[in-house]
Amino acid sequence: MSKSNLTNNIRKLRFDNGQMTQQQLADKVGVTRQTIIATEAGKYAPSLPLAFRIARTFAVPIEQIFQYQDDDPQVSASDTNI
Amino acid sequence: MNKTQRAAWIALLLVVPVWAICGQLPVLLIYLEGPSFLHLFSFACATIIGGLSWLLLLFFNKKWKRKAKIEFDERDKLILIRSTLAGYVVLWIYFIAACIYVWLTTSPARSISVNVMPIVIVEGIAVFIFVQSVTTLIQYGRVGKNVEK
Repeated sequence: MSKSNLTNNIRKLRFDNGQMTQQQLADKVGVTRQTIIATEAGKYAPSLPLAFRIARTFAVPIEQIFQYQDDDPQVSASDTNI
Repeated sequence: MNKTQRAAWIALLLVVPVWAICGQLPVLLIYLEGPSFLHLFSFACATIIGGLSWLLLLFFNKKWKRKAKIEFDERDKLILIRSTLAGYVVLWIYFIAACIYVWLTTSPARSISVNVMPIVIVEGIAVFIFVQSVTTLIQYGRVGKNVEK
């Protein structure tokens, strides 16, 4: 599992939501604790359905949890123009 | 450690050695002492035992059953697919390398011993299980960091 440009603040959100443990979050979104650990560490990019389930658990938009940094600034500029 | 990781460790430490030894030993005996009913029978038994070593996985999975609700998810599935693919690729490379090696070590005038085939096949299975287990464990990596008690 290579590190991606995807960053997240799951850890912060867990603590903001009543000190939720990794196991509790894993049980809520239907994955193993290891997947949460790997996602938090940025070692695993979750699937879109899982990302939505995490966002729904914290009741925040998905962009507030996951941020994607593009290496090529021209690509992101053209994307925003569309 | 989840179900897939457990299976990979068991396969690496138990299934691969059992499978490799079971495949090698009777063939070696046949090669040294010549074929006999006893040797062929022991080869059949050893292959069956090697094949049934997968039951160890079921046994240990039941014994070490954890209380976690979910033991297999999308990440485990992805890891399993990748490791199986790696095992399959290495199996083909091994098979081609084994064929070339046998072909190079025997001159064109000589024939290849029939003892070579069971060794190549059984060891091929051992190679596949070994590569699959190792790549599975590598993909999981060390999870000491970011773990909460």
